[in-house]
Amino acid sequence: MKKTVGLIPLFLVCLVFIAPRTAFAAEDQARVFLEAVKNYDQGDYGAAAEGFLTVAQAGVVNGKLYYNIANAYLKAGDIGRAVLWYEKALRLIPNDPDLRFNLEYARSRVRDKAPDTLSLAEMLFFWRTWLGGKTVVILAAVFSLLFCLGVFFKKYLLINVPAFFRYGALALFLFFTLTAGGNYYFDQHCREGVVLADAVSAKSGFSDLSTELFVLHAGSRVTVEQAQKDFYRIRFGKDKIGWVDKADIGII
Amino acid sequence: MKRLVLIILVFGITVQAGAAGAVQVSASVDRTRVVGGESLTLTVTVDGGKGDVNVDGIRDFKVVSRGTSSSINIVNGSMSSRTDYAYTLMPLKKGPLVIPPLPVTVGGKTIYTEMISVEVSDAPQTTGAPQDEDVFIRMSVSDKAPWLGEQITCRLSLYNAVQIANAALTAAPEFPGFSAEKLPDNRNYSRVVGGRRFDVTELVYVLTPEEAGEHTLGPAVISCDVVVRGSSRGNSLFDSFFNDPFFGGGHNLRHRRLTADPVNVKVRPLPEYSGNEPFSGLVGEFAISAEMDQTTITEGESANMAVIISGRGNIQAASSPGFKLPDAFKVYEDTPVEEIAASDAGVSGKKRFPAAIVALTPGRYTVGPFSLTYFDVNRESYITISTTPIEITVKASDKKAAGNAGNIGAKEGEPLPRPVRKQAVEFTGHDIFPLKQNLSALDHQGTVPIQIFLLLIGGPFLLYGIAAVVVTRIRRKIDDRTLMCRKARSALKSAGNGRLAIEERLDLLFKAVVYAVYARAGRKGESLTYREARQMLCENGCDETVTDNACCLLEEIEQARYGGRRVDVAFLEKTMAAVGSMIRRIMP
Repeated sequence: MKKTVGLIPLFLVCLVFIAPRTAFAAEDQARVFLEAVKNYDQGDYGAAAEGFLTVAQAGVVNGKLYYNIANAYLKAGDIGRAVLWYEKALRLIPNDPDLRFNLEYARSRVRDKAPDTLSLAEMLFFWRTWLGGKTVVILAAVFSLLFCLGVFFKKYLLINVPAFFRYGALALFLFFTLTAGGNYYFDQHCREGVVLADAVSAKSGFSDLSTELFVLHAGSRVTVEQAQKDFYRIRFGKDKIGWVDKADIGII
Repeated sequence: MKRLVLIILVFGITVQAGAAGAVQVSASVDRTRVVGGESLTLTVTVDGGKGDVNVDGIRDFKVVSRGTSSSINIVNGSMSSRTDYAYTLMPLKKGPLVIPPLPVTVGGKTIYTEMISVEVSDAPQTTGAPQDEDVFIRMSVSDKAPWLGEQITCRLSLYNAVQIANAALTAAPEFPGFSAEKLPDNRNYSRVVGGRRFDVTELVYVLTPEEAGEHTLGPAVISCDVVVRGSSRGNSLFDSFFNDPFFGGGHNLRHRRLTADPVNVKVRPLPEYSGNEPFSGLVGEFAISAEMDQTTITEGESANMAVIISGRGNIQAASSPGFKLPDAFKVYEDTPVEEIAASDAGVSGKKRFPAAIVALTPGRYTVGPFSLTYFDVNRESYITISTTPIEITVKASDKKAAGNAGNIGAKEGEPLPRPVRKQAVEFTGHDIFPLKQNLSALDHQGTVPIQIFLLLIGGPFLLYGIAAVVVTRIRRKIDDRTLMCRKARSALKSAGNGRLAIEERLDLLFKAVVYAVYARAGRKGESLTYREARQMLCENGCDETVTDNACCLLEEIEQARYGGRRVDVAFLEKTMAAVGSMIRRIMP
């Protein structure tokens, strides 16, 4: 106990040094953000993108920030990076109408026609992009709680909780838990990427002499299957697989 | 019957005419380099019919006819015929020899083949080795000096006179300064080059120059495997026997990497435009026309018109001609309809700009002309073309109320104007939604770690388990108390049974008090000493007087049971009443 009391002054000293620094970092981020907005309004889209990117690289994970980065890249004519950041934003704020509109517009400017094929996992979890990852987790927890309360009241407190309430809560709990599980699975195992360069040659191997199998253009969405040396093995659609330089692909 | 004969006759004449009208003659050899003593095969091909080939002009070779073969193809209803005349040529000397142009007489007309050079040498060639000229690629453009915006085609052609496999475009040509569109289908045909017949596979790109100046297109690299006859390792009978292609042997693949030289293209900037009409931005060859579904309209009614721009060039860039009509009409432009296709000749098609017009005022009017100014690549100048004006008569309507189409302010008692024609709402411009400038964009929205997720969904179940244990324990405690109460009442009731012995009834009364004490404590038990009973009652908040009385009662019953005191019914009744009163006071 005495030891704990003795540590309090040390903790307070640390707080005195750390707190202003954190506040300054937040202030700095806001300044850079507002400057980027100003650059965007003045038509300097490259500088705006750089400013927003600086804030994101400082560790801010926010769908609106990612949306702004994508807007700046799109205005600057960089379709690949625009689509990449819109896709990143979509995972955080999937129901934002501005984001969906702008992403659709950016996709319309991608030269490659998107393949129609869906993997089995994507077919099973087709709804997973309708809600944000955090929302799904919260809903799973809420329905878990409702189900447990329903059963507890019925069994131990002898309060008549309707069966449809208990079973409905159980069904929704399972649904959202599966969705959240699917989200975690996709995040871990199904890496998606976007072509950043104007044109990328997918080759049969790593060397320059490898045969060019097909060409993808900026903004095309691919599945990253494997990473080796400085290359990713990507899949586009059902049958197009090839190796491309890591620098040409942005991971969502 | 007469009709059938007529049809056959017409058909025969048509086929004959078709055949005579498109005759082509060519000659090719299977090899252009031979060793002295070897022979080569000359094939004279007549596409579109038959002919008489005169080979008397061949002096450097001994000529032996190998026969004639004919074939007829019918594709999409059009028929074509072809006749091949094959000859074996044996060189009569060494050195550079020639097969002179051979006259071929087709339908009374003489056509000459091209001259073919053949090298006859002493040195034997490596058996089956591919020659450099057996397989090669070429890249060419339709125009090396196009105008800015003028579409040209770039062809990447793979020529092979020998069998090849696994052909692949290792490096696609680059087109800096151009926008490129590759035609989806590759072209395949045969062509005679230098006297040899090659199979040609051609990739066609339609290019549109986007920057003036000099540009270098390509290079392109194609890799393929050339099928060559395997070199025999030994000369035994079995080696040559099993090297026969029948046994799958005797052929090897030799990898080849073919590079097409880059092509330089000089894109000419468009000359300065100084005309009165606005330049449409179109480059190529175009035509413009206007059409209307009716030229007489009743006042208040609508008609459909369209301006059509057609031709070859960057027709996608064609924009609306701007329907400037007299004030007597209201114009509702509709979405343009494109029928554009890319082919070997470039991009061509038409773009239709439809519009609905509503007549407002009776009279005779002239609609148009609509003009289009484009850069004509053949004339190398800006050309303005116009549609023919269309005369329209607007008749007065019987219903005056319908006179002002689009005016919904009808007077009282007059019928309302007819509804306006509905149109799909289309985008008139393309842009994106603006930034999100609120500083909430800096709030952290990170994803929930999987451990937290598991805790969140598992937490309620954990709480449920804890609560269930607690409730069960509480209920068990409550149950013990109830059980003891029930036992105490049961024992008291049994003690009232007069058929039982006195000792038994006293014993039951004692137990009734003990059970009551246990019920008070919320525990289960069967026996107690006075001290234990006192302690339990005190611990469970029982009044001191009641505790004392309970202990006295227990002691009294004990003395009656074991003290040798004579117990009569009156004592028993009195004790029963006391026990009944006591357990009601003790039990919760």
